[in-house]
Amino acid sequence: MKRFFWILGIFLLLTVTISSCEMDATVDPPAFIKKPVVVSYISPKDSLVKVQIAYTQPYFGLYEPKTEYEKSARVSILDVTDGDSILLAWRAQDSVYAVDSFAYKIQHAHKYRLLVVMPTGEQIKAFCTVPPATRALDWKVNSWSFKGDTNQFGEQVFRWNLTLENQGAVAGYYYQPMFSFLEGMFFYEGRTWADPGYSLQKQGNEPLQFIDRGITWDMTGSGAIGKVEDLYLVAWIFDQPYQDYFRSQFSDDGNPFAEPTLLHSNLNGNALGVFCAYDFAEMLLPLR
Amino acid sequence: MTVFNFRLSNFQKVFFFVLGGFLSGTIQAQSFSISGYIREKGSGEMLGGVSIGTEKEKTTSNNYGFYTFQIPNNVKSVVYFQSAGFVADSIVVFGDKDIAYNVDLLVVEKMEVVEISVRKSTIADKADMSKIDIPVQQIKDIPALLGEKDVLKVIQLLPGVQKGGEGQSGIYVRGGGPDQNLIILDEATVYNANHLFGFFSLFNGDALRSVELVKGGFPARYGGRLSSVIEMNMKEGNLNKYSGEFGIGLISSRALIEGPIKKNKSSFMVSGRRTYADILAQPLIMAATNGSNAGYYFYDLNAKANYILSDKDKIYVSGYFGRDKFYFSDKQNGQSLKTNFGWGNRTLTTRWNHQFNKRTFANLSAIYSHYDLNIEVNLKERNSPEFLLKYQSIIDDYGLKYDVDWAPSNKHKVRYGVSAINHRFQPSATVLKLGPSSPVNRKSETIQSFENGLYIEDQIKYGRWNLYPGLRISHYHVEGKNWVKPEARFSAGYQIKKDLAIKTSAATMWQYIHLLSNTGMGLPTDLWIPATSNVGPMKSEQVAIGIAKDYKQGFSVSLEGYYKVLTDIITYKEGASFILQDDFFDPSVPVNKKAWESQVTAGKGWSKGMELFVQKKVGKFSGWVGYTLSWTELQFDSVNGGKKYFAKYDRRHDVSIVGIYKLSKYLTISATWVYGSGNAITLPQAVVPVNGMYPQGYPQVWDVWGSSGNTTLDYGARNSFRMEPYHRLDVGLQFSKDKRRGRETWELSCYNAYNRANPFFYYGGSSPDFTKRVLKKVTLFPIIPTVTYSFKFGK
Repeated sequence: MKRFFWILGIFLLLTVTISSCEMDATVDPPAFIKKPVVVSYISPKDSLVKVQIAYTQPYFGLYEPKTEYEKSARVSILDVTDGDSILLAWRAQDSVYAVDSFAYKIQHAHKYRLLVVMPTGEQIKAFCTVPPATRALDWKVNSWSFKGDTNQFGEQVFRWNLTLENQGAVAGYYYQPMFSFLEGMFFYEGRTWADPGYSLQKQGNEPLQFIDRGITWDMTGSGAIGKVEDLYLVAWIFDQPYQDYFRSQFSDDGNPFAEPTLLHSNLNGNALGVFCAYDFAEMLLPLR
Repeated sequence: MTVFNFRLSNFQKVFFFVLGGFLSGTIQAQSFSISGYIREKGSGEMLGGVSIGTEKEKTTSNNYGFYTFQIPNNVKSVVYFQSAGFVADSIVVFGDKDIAYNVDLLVVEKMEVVEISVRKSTIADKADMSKIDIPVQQIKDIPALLGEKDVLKVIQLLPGVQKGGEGQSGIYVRGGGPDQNLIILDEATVYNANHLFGFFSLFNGDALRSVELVKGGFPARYGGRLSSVIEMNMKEGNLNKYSGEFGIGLISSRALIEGPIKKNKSSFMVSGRRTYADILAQPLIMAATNGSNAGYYFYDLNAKANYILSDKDKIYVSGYFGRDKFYFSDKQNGQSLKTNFGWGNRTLTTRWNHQFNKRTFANLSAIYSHYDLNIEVNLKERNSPEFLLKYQSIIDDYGLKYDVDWAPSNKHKVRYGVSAINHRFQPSATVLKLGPSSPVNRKSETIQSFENGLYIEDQIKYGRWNLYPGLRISHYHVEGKNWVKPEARFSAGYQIKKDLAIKTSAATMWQYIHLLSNTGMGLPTDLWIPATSNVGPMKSEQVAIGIAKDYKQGFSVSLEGYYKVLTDIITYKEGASFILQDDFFDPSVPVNKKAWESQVTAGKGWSKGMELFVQKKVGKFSGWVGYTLSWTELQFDSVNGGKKYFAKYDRRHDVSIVGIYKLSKYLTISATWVYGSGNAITLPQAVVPVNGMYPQGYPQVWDVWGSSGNTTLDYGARNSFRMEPYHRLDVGLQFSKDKRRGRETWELSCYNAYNRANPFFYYGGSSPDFTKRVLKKVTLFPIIPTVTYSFKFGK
């Protein structure tokens, strides 16, 4: 038995010596393939029609690499619906290709094509359709309740419920309301993109319900909240490429339990980015 | 609504032709039967899989040790009884009257090598393929991580079976996920077979009598999973005398006791295991953290009792109870935090064996299986609102099963039966309290479903052919919708020579439950969900072809190729997660059983490969060499842009070498070496600059990025990066000594003997000067020596 413990002791000593090695080592990263990134959102409300062209940079490498823009491409937009096209010029101050909206008007319900010819001759192409205009008449508050109380810390605590309906919804487009019924407080439902219009990908005119929401209002300096009479609504509408691109970006929000999301692109070839369209309307809806 | 799908594929047409033709084969006339039970000498434990036969014909005993064999009238015949690890027995029979004969086989002592004069039980003369039984003693002899003998880790060493990550118990069979394995313990389904977040399995080997893996050519009696069946049976307990065993290891201790309740009539077995890291570490944790209390433990309890009612009737009751628990509590500076995280399985099986006549044996089982997961977090701070989160997920299964073995002749061994399971799933029940308001209860509906099966299978011997056709009709009912699916099974072997056969098999399987997993690691938070009217069942179709050869030296070699198609498998959509999903705590999102349905997407999978298996079960030197060459690809509409990609555990090459050498009756050395190509993972490859290119006026979009809102990431294609290959050597040395009251055994083992830094996961870290992002590899287990002590008494 004595011999056994000797052997065991030597064995353990050797093991501890050998095992005190690096457990967290640097290894070769994935191979980097440089890709063009083309981004353009068009809207009848924008004062400029813009297209940005840059290049991806290695993820493993310098923390803040300088963005490399492509300044020598030929960028054009074609209104497929009525055949009107325009060549965009390089604007050094914004690092984008642009044209003033007075010179080239983006119109509701028109289909557009973006064509980028890279200096290498590579052609990058994408299509999108501008959503129809959203109108104040289409939006309606179906139900509303608001109840206030004061908590143990002397703050006002409100519970509220709201059902919002968009009666003019058009299939194939996505709607997202942002609203405020207290001055200075916008509600986006938790995180900006997690409101029902987004997370449930609502396309149709299903009512959006906000049930038993809470607000704690610190009255210090701002005074108590009185009666709430109106809802200030910014109603957004966007197309499928916009939805897909933003969903893929925002899904990758650092949740370690979530599957990684591959960045959606509606551009051909190996280009990344998006060519998409959106619109919005502001309105004041009475709360009854 | 009912979905009847009885359109026959070409394979099914061929199958019915073969089944019909051979079931009409002759029932052996002019013969008598010898039948009875085969037991282990001394303990009286029933032995399944024992080979019984003459020079010309043979059969095997069933799981309950029952056998029946036909002998021609008035022909003097020698009937042999033989099984690996036991001394063979024989009887000379002559006459024309049926004989009831129970056999007691003696266990081969460690150094004895028994030469058997009859033709040995070989893999070449069986129809079934892709099936491996693992001697429990080999499981005990193979070195293990921290000395914890683990059945699933041994199964991972077999060809066609891959492990997940370093040290994990999760298994991936021929490209299938961990949920596609039917793990049965005494006929009860075990849902989560993992302890300690997957590092150990529930099955420690002490309490087990037999372990069998089926990865293709499935007999019709099995259903409900796509990729494999792991069937384990507990020991029954010594009918004659009390005996036991206990062991002390680095992280746990275990004990087993068995013996007669009434000698030769009834026996029991109780086996338990518990970790004690929490008890040992608690004083240190409390001292280091100024009073915090934290710990983790798991325990297992296996128990079984049986009663021999008569020569023809036996009753068994067995159960498994196991639980993992992590706890943490801290109380200081007016803050109180309490966290509990626990999960566990419970199973209970009651069986009644009845022998109707010399040729017919039946078993009726009533089965209960339960799995639950509980998470509780409670935070109270002075001047702050209370936070309380309770989460619970539960599965309950209630099942009935009736199986009949009928041997009309030595050329036919028919088995048929029926089963019914009532599943009750409660995917989630959450209580959330935020602040002064009353708690919000968000309890999902309990989903009830019924999974039923009806099957028939026949083992047919026809000249040089061994055929094994079978048919299973599965039925599933949920939410008013029914699925009725025929599942054809077929295996065939053709003996070119006595010790050489070619084999083929085909099987269709349906699976009516899914496992949603983000990590694939077998974490308890993985969510079991039933197929519903919106997310239907999964299907697999597998064909295999192979060759099997036996060698005189006791080696057997098999080479198999397979092709498997998985249909309607599900996965989370990109960005979706069971944990921390956007609407998880959102009371406005309707709470119902369908909350997860919007998070998943259905798709297809393909797996193909080749497996080589060289095995030696008996003798001074035993072990195996396994090699697998495989490809596994998946495709989902909403993942990877709808393009095919390699599964995370797609492994091009997988090698395992296991050797056990008994130097003497008291000294055994063993070693295992494994090699596997790297797992396929998804890593960010590039930074995508989007510098302020957002829609005008859309406020606060940039919040999501925090301070660095100008870039996003490009991951390239899904699972396009390969981790480094994995390889490891484990060695073990066991030495035993006979004591007055029993035998003690010391085991010295070394996990990862050459200290290979195998990758566990990768992450983006910083270079030493903090200027660059670099890819870092984390290694979990360096070389780990272990000493365990065990003592057996009463043997």
